[in-house]
This record gives sequence, C-alpha cells and structure tokens, in this order.
Amino acid sequence: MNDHVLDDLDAYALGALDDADAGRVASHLAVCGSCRADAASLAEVVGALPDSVPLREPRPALRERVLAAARNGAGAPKPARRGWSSCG
Amino acid sequence: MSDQLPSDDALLTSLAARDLGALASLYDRYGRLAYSLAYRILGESEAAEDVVQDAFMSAWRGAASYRRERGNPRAWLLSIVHHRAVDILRRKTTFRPAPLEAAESLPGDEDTALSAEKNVENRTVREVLETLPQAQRRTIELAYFGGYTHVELSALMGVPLGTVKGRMRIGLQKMRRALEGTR
Repeated sequence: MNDHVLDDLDAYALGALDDADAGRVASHLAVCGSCRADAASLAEVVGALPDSVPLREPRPALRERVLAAARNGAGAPKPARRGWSSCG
Repeated sequence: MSDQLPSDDALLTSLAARDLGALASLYDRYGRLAYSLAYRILGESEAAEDVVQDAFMSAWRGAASYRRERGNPRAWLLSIVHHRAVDILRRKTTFRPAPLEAAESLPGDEDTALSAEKNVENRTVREVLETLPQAQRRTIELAYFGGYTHVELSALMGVPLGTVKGRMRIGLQKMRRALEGTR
C-alpha cells in the first residue's frame, strides 16, 4: 500500500492539519522514505519561519525558572495564576 | 571570550547526561528566539513564558532520545515551542489573533530593532516572506503563526481547500528557492 501524502505535506510541515490528518501523514512517513525526504525538506523551509518574528526579550526570571524546573525534576511549579495548566 | 563554543549537538549530548550548564547554554542561545516565537503565536507574555519553560523541559527530558532526523537541535527545539503554542492557541477558542494585523502591530521595542539589525537571518527570512504574493504569505502566516488548519483557512479565506494547499505549496517552494539563494 502506498498512498502517498504529498498533497498534505505542506500543511503538515506548517502544523496546519488537525490531529487525525496529522496522524495519518505521520503514519505514512514512518513507512515511506520518499515522502519522508520531501517532508524533511519542507520542515527545513518551515524551520526558517521563526527567524521572521520580531525578537523580544523574555523576563530574566524565565531563565531561572527553566533551570529550577530541570533541577527539581520534570515539572517545577509555575507561578500560580489564571488560565490553562501545563500542556505537557 | 572563547571562540570554542560547544555545538548545538554537543549541548544536546550534555543535556542527555543531565548537565544543567548545557541547559543554561541552550537557553542562552535560543531562549529569546523561543520566547519570541511563542509570543508571536500567543500574543501574551505569560503564556509565552510557560510555553518556553515547557519546551526546554521537554528538551531536557527528551535529549537522550533526540535523533538528528528530527531536525537539527535548534529546529527541534523551536518545533516543540511551535507545537505547544499552537496547541494552546487552538484550545483557547476565544483567543484568535488576527495574525497579520497582530504581526504588524507588535510593539517594536528598542531591543527588537537592535536584534533585527544584528540578526541577519531574522532580516533575511522576513524579507523573503515579504517577497511572496500576499495570498501565499498570508496563508503561510495564518497557518504557522495563527494555528489555523488548512480546512479552517479555506473557510476563513473563502477559497477552496485546493487553493489553500496550492498557496502553501507554491509559497513554501518560493521560500526554499529564495533562502537557498541567500546561503
């Protein structure tokens, strides 16, 4: 079976597929070297997009938060506040 | 100052060995870019900081299983940031920034100007994006930074799904050619 997913590779690289479609593409990539090569090439282009964003400086405390989280194991406490919790 | 900074690959190897110094170095190298990307997607600093923390923790935990075919370390880290930020954006159904307008109105603080000037890569990619026809650029930006799926973009932009796919494909092809020309 070799239903290539070329039609969806661009959206896949951009993260613009829903979970079901992304899973279908990922499953195909696991077994298809040709599509995998195309996907890698697209990922490289998409990987440049972060370089287009205006650079902003995070608060200095973030560095210590990151290091403290690693020091303390998987998940260091985040400052309590409204909103969503960790997505990990 | 030493010219012999460890490579990104070497930093990941040290990360896998639980070297906190390597994590600090990785953060010093990419923390700002990671935060800038998360902020660009989410539009708020606290959420962006949480994403950055989660992404670096994910790298910390996952460094041992990192493989080169998943992209170089920088691309791998930024893809984690992107994935997590978009995931949050999609869950926050009430928050959908108008990405182009948001991109154009993001505060251009003095640091931004300074960084953009120093960061040739940053300027080049932005220039490449600006050379794309607006429909292609908008499609790529709404997808990547706005977190829209191609089906959602089809509805949002009022064009067939095939048109969205075509804009993505041609836009990315042009980007690839333009970026290759700068390297």
